[in-house]
Amino acid sequence: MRIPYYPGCTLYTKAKPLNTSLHACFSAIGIELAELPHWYCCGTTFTLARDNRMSLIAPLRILAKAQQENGKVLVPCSICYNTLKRANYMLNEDIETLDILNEHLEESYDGNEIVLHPLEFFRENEELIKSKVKKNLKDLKVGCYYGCLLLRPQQEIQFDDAESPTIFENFVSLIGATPIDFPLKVECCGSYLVVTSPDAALEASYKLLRNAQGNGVDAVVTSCPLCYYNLDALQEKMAKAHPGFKQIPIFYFSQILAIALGVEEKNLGLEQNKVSPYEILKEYNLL
Amino acid sequence: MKRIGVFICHCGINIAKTVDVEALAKEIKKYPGVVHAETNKYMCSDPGQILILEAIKNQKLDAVVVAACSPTLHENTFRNASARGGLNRYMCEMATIREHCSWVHDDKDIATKKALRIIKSMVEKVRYDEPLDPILVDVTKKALVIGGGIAGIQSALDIANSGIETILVEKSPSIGGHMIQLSETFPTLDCSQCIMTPKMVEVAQHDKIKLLTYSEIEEITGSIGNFNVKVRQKSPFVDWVKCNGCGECDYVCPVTTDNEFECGLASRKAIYRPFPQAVPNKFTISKLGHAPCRIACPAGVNVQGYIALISAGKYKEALELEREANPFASVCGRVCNHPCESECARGEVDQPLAIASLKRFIVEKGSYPTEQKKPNGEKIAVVGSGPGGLSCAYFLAKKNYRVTVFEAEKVVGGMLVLGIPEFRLPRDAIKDDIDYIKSFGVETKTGVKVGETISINELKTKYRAVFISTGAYEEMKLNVEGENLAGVLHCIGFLKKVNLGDKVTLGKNVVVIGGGNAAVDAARVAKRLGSDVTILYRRSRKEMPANSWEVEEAEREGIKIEFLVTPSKIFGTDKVQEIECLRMELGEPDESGRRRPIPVRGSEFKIPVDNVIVAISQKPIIDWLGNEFEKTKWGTLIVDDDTGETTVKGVYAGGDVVSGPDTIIKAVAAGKKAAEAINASIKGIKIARKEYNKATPEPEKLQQTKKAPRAEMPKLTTDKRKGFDEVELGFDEETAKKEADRCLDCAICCECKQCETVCEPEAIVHDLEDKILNFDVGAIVVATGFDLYDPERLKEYGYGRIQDVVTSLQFERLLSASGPTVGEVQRPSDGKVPKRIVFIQCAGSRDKENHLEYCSKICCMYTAKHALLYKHRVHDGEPIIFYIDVRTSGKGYEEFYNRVTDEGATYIRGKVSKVYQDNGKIIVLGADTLSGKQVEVETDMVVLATGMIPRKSSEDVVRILKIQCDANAFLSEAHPKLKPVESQTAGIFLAGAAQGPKDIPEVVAQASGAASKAIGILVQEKIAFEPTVAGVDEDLCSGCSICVAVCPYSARELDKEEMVVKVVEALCQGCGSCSAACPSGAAQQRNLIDLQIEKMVVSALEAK
Amino acid sequence: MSKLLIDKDFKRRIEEISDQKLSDCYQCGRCTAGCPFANFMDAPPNQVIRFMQLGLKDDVLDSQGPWLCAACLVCQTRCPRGVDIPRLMEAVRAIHLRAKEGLIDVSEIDKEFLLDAPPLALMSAFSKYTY
Repeated sequence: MRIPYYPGCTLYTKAKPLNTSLHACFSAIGIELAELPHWYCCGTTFTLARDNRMSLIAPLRILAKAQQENGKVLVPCSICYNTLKRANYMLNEDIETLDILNEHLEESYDGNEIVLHPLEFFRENEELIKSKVKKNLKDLKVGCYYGCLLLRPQQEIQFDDAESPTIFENFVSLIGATPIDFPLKVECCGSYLVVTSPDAALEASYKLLRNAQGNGVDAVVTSCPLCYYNLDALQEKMAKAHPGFKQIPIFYFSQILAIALGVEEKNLGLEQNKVSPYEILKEYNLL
Repeated sequence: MKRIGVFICHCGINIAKTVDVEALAKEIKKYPGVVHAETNKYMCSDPGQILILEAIKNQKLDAVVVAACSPTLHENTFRNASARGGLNRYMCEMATIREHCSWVHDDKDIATKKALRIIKSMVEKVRYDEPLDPILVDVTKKALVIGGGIAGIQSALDIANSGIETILVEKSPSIGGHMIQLSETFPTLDCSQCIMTPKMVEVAQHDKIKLLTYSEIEEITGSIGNFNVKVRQKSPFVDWVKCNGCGECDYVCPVTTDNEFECGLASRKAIYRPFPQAVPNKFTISKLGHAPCRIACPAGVNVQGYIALISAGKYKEALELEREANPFASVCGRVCNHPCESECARGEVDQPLAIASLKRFIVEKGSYPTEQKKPNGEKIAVVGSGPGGLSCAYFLAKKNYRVTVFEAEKVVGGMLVLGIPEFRLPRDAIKDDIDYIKSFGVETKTGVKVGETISINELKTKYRAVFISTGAYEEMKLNVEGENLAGVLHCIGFLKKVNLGDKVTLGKNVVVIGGGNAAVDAARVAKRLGSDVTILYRRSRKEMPANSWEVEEAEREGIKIEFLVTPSKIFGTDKVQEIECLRMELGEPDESGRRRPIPVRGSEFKIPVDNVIVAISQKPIIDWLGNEFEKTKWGTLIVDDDTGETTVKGVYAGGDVVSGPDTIIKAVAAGKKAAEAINASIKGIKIARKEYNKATPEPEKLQQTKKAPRAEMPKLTTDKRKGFDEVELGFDEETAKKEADRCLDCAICCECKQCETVCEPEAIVHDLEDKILNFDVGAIVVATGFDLYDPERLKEYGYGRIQDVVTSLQFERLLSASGPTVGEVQRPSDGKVPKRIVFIQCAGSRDKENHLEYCSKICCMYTAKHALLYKHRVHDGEPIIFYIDVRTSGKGYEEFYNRVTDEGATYIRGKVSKVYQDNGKIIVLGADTLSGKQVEVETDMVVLATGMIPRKSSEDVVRILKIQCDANAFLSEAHPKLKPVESQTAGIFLAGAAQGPKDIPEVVAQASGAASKAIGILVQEKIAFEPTVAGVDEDLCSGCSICVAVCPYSARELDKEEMVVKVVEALCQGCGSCSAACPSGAAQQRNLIDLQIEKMVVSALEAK
Repeated sequence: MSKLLIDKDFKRRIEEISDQKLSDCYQCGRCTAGCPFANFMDAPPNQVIRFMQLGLKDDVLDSQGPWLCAACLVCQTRCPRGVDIPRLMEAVRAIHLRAKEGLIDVSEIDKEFLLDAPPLALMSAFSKYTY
C-alpha cells in the first residue's frame, strides 16, 4: 500500500527528524509514503482576508497535484495541514473563487481531495499500528501538545473537539506510553511571533510547558515544526528568564512512534533536539 | 340578496400608511351586495364598534365584513359587536388586510389593490354564511396540574381552594421541584425550605387535591371542558399505603448511588426518600431491571445482590442469596466458567469484577444452616448425583418434596468428583455444597445403577416424577491406527482413576490430545504425576474451548501446547512408542462458527511418547433408556425447552445427558428448571416465562468511573505445585471487599431484599407493578419546570474535570442548612472552606454561537445572592463575579445588588475564557473590559451560573398534549402580551419556568394566573364550542371512511349500521382535513363549504 | 472633549476584508480573556473591536494588537457571538500592508536567528508582517 505524501518545506530543513522518523515508521508498518512529484510551499498560514484570492493559489495547486494520485494526501506539518485543509474547505464553500482560480490556472481542481494528518491515519489503522509495536513505552509519561492548527477552526478542520481533544492521547496510549492530560495543551505556543515579538512567544511557550510539567510529564510531544521550535529551542532562554525552570525534552509524535516500533536510533533524528532527550529515554530503557 | 356592510380599519397608521383606506371604501361599495362601507382609525375601539352597531340597525345589514388585523386578534371583538347589533355572530367575518397586506408591502398602489381583493373574497364568504349557534357541552369540574414544583403547587392550591377537585401529577417521588433545593431566596433571603414546606404539606392534606407523585402522563385526549387523562403511576416497589417513612430500610440497603436532590454532591441508597421533608414522606426503590451479570448467569444467580452484600460486610446474607439460585456456591466459586464476568459492565471501564472468586470468598466466610425442616411431600426420584441432579433435588426438597438421588458410583458428585482434579476443586469444597443440599432432607443412594439395580419403569411407578441427569461419560475415539495400543488412555477414565485414588503410572513423555477443559485437566494431572506433557490441539489458541485462564496456568506449570496439530497414527509394538502428527491450517468457519482445520499435505512429523491421553469429548450413555425416550443424532436426550420434560411424561432430564459435555452452571440451571417444572406440573400451576430488562450504566457513568484494577487471585507458586494442593488460594477479606466495591450497581437496586427483613409494616413489594389511572378533567395546567443547562458542554470551564467547579444549583446545596455540608461552604474536592470563589455568569446563556442564545434571567440575581450568602458564611471569603451585564429588573433587585457590592463582592465585567488547573491551583482566565485588562485569577472554587432550559421530560408532555413550543423548546403562550398563561390549545394553561426563564415571584404570579383561567372554565356548567365544525351530508356519504383516517382529532367515526360517518362535534376543531379528503363532497365545514371557497378564490383572483 | 465622528468608510472596509459584522460583537471581552498575547498589547482585542465599532480609524491603525495576533483562533472558538476576531485583525494588517506599511524589514532580522529558525516561522511572519 502507498499513500501520497506532502512533506512541506520545513521537513526538508529544520524539521528533518520529523521527516526521517515518519518515513521509518511508515516503512515499519509496511506502507510506502509516496512523495508528490514537484510540490511547492503551501504559503504557510492560511489567509484570513476574505478578498485575498492570490494566497489560495498555492494550496489549490498542491491539492490539484495530489488529486492525481489517489484522493488522499498525508500532511504531517501542522501549518501545512491547516493551510491546505482550510483552503480546501473554503474552495468548497466558495465555488465562485474556485471557478475563477481554475480558469486562470493550468491545473484544475474539483474540491474533493482529502487532507489527512498522520494522527488521523493512525486513528483509522489502530490494529495495524498496535500489531507492529515492539518496545514497551509503558512508563513514559507524555504530554500531548496539540497547539492551534490541528484543532481550529473546528468546523473547518474537523480533527477533534477543539476544547478537549483526545486523538493524540489515544495515539500515545495505542503505542503503549502513558498520556498525561494538561489543560494548556490546546493553547498557543507563540507561533511566528517568535520572529517579531520573541518575548511574547517565550512567555506563551513557558506557560504551557510549566503547566505540562505541573501535571507530571516526562516529555512533550507535538506535530508542528514551529511549535517544536518554540518549545524546544526557547527553553534555554526560559531557564534564564525563569530561574528554577527545569528543561524538558520535546518529541515529534513520529519520533516516539518510531521508538515504539523499534526503529534504529540513527533514523530517529534525536541529535537535532536542543534539549537532550537521551537521559529520559535511557531512564526508561528505550535506547 | 344579503345586505352586506364593510368596515375598514386604519389601525392607526399600520394599515392606512400603505393602503389607501378611503379609496378602498369607495371601491368596495360598488361590489354586488355591499350596501355600506366606511373606515375608522381604530375599528376595535368603542367608537369603531358603535359604527358597526349603528350600521346594522340603520342599513338593515344581514352580514358584516371588518377589514382590519387578523381573526386571531379581533374576530371575537367584532362578532360580539355584531351580536350586540342584533346579527347572528357568525354573520361577521374579518378580512386580514394588515398582516397579509399592509405589513408586507411598501407600494401603496399595489397594496390597495390587494386589500380590495382580500375584502372582496370575504364579502363572497359572508354572502353564503349561515347563522349558527354555538355547540354547548357539559364541563367536567376537575382540573389536572402537571408538575409539582412551586408553579404546580401554587396552581393546584389555588384551584383546589376554589372548591374544585384537582389532580396534581409529579414525575419524581416528591413534590417540591427546584425551589425546595434552594437555600435562601433573593432579594429578601427567605429560607426556601421554610416557605416551601408548608405549601407542600398543604397540598398533601388538601381534601380537594389528589396527589399523584412518581407518575407520568401517558396520554391525553379530548378538548377543553372534557379531557381524558391516562396516567402511569410508576411502581416505587414500596406499598405507600403501608410505608410509614421510618427509614429502617435506608440503613440496611447495601447499594449507594448518586443523590439527585443533592446534585451529585452526596450519595443515597437504592431505597430512598428524596429528602427528609419529602411529600409524600414515603420511600421509593430505584430499580432499572436486572444487571447484565444476573442475566448472563444460566442459573439466574443474583450476582449484583451478593456483591453488594459483600461490600456491606454481610457475608452470611450474601451466601444465602447465592444459594437461593444455586446450591453449588463452593464449587462454582472455584471452577465456574463464569459467563457473568464476560458481561460485567465494569469490563468497559477496566476489567470485569472477579465474581466467581468473590463467591468462593463468601463460602469461606459464611456459616451454614445446620437444621432444616425435613420434607414430607410427594416422592421424586433423581438419577445421577452430578450438579444437575443434586440441584434438581435441592430445589424440590426446598419445596417440601421427598427426593431420592440414585448414584451408580460409590461417591456422590458426578463429574465434580470424578472429572475435576483436586488442585482445582478440593474434595472438601464439594462436600460443603453437598452437605448443604443434604441438610434439606435430600437422600442419596450410591452404588445403585438405574437400568440394572432398578428399572426406570419402577422409578416411574414408585415416584411422582423422575429427573435424569446421568452426564456424558462415553469417551469419543480418535479413530486412528494404534488407538488400542497399551499406554493410550482416554481422558475421563484417566481422571476418574486418579480422582478416586487408584494408582496410575505414566511414562516420561505424555501427549494429551484435545483442547477442552478436560484435556487441560488431564495434562496438569499428568504433569503432577511426574511426566513431561504436551497438548496437541488441531486449531489455534483462539478457538480453544478450554477456559483461557486454565490454559495459562497449564503453560505456567510447564506444559507445552502445540497448536494446529492433529494425530494421524499411533505407533508401537506392544506399547505406544511414537505418535505421527499432521500440521493443520485454518479454513472457512464450520457450523460451530470456528474455522475448520485442514491438514497440510506432507507435513507429517513424529513425536516419541510413552502415553497418549485422548481428550476429544464425550457423549451420554443412554442405551439403558427404552425407545420411548426420543434421542438426537448426537445421542443426547430430547427434552422440552421450557420444562426439561422428556418425551416420556413425568420423566425429566437435564445436564450433559441433554446438552452433551457442558458447564456446571448450565447443569445447575437445567436441574433448577426441571425442579420448577415438576413442582408446577404437580401443583397444576403455569410457569410464566420471565423477560428481564438488562440494566447497564449510562455511558457518562462509565466515563466518570475511576479505573481500579481487578483483584488478582493469589496462587501457589509453580514450584509448589507438585502434589494436588489447591492452586488458587482465595481472597482475604480486605481484597474481597475492595473488589466488591468495584461493582457499578448496574440495576441500582440489587434485590438483595435486606429492606424486606427490616420493614415492620411489610411495605416492600419487589414485584410491584406500575398502575395505569384514567380520569376526566375540564382544564389542565402545565408546570413542568426547568433543568440546568448541561455544564459539561462548557468544556473550557472544566466542569466534570475539575472537582471544585460546581453549578449554581450545587452551590445552593452547599449553602443549604439541609445540604450535604449542613450549610457550611466546603469545596467538594477536599472539604476545605474556600477563601475565594469565582462566580461565572452567563455560563451557557447569551451565547448564540455555541450554547443558548437567550438570557436566563435569574442568574444575575442568584449569583448576587450566592456572593452575599458566601460572605455571610465565610467572613473573610472573597467573592469575585465575572459578568457581561448585571440585570436587576425586579422589585427590590437593584437594591439587593447594591447591598451585595456594599458587602464586598468584586464585580469584573468580562466573560471568562477558560478555567483550568495549574500546579494544583484553579486559574480563571478572564478580562476586565472596563479597564481594558486581561485578568488571571487564582481561586479555590468556581461556581457556574448555568442557564435554564426546559425540563427534559417536558418534551413528552408537549407531544402528548399537542401544545406548541418556541425555538428554545419552552412552552409557547397564546399571545406574548395578552395571553401569557394560555397555551395555544384551549383549556390548557402554562405556569412557571416551563414557559420561559423566570424567578419565583413571577412563577407564583403566573401559576395563580393559570389557576384562575382554569377556574374560569371549570365554574361554567356548559362550554360553548365554535359551531364552524365539519358536518356530513348523509345523502352523499358512502361510508368510505377516508375522512375518519385523516381526522387528527378523532372526531369522526363510521356508523356501521347506517354506513355513514358521524361527527363528534365537541372534538372537531374545524381544520378542514375531512372536507379536502372527502371524494363525494359529503364532508362540508359549516360556513366554509366548497361553494364558498370557490367563490372566494374566484373573487380574490378577479377571475371571471 | 473630542466629538465622536464615526468613520463609516473605514468600518465598511474592515467588514469587507474580514467578512465579519462588527455589530455582532457585544463586547463581553472573552477574546481578551483568552488571548495568550493580550498582556503584550496596548489595546487588547475587544478594545480594538470597540474602536472599529465606533469607526475610530486612527485608534485602530495605531494599536499594536493586530501585530501581536498569532491567529491562534482561541478567541474565534469561544466567541459567543460567532465573531472571527483573527479575521478582523488580519483586515487591519491588510490595510497597513496594502499601504506599504510593514511591521518588519527582512534585512534587519538577526542573522543568527535566521539560520536557526525553521523556514515556516519566517515565511509565516513575512506573510503576516511584510508587503
